[in-house]
Amino acid sequence: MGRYGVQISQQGIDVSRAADYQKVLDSNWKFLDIAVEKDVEATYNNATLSPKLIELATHGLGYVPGFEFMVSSSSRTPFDGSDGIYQFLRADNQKIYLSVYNTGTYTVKGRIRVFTVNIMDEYSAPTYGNNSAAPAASSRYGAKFLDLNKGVGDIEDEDMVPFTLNTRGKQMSIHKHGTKVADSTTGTLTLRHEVGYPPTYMLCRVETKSEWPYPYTYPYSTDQVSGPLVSAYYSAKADPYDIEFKGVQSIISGRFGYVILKDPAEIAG
Amino acid sequence: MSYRTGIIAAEDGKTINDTPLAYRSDFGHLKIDTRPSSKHMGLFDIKPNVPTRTQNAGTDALFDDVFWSIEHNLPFIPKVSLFMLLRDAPATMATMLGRYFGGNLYVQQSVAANESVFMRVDAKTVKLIRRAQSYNIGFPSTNYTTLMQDSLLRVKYMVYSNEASDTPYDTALPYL
Repeated sequence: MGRYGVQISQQGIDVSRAADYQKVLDSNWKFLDIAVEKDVEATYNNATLSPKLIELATHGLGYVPGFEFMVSSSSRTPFDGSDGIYQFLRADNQKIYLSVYNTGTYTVKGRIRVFTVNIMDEYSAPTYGNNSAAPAASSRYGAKFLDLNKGVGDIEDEDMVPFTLNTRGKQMSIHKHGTKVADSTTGTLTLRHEVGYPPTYMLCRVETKSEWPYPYTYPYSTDQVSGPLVSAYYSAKADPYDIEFKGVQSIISGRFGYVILKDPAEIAG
Repeated sequence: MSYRTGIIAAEDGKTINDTPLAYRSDFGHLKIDTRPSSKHMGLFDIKPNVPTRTQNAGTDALFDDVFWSIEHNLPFIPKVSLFMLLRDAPATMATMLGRYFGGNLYVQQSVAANESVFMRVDAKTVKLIRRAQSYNIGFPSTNYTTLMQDSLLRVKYMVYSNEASDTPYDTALPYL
């Protein structure tokens, strides 16, 4: 039975020989789409020792998404300084919040980027490519789509910024995502990815509390996982089939949301 | 005015009226210019050419040594990804060999002396930095010698054509 769909490879790459990560579009798997991107700024004075949720943005996806937050500035007084703000950021199935408990004045400014990754869903992409990079040839053939909602640039532009799809560039596709609880005995988190090479990745912490109607998640990061009490730097050991995450200074514990990308950790292409 | 132009693709076995769609070009995407001239993607082995520093646990000190940089030529401060594989290191870092570090490679020799490797991104450049930091937190004064100048990293980096921030930032986040 034939496979139906759309495949577009990077410019100069033969689509019939392209590795999965050399495609800018393949309707057989998910890409790291951005549902919402927004600059936010908030200041909140928590006068009483009690939990509060301050809404930063609405994503409205109906599921708990993976998201990242690029901090421009933040502070927490009386504990002044741009530190610790990531542990106060949360996403549920509708919104992104600043979650506070201790008294003090919290300020945060930055850019939120929400991905169309349903953290609580388990997903594995098929692997069709040979996972060996096809050589790039000089070519003027390709495809590009302007992001008209941005209202900048035109179709003749040479750089990538105005486009939502451009075969002159690379786009990030998802091989696997889901959640898993770290091994409490070893303090590690091991995943079977089977992508065929050590992949790139992102982790976030996921929590479910009885007082919340939905699970919630903290921001993605490639080097730290945050939590209400404990934060931990982590590292990864990966081979073509498995990846193991381990804390650098301490064990990691609890439930984590992960994204394994089709992009290799040791190939730039 | 909102535009609906571009390309959409349904998931396997579904129609374009079903949700979610497999692909929507009207959603934003993280994208990387793969032209060699852009220098927005790279993979290389590097031994950080940084000085050997003596860190005195018991003294506040911070040294940021730049050992690699490029100009990104984007009209904003871009998002980057950095993955580092520790390929060789002094014996005290043996448990870290062969592991990947995303955004930040952190080595703690003492609660009052640490070292890290990360990227710093501003409006013009992307740099790899080795930071050596020590603190006066009441611990006895003890000297440590930095380690990263004797290490070998395999670095993969990507500079996205996506804006990150309006202020320069480090890929080593403040300790959460």
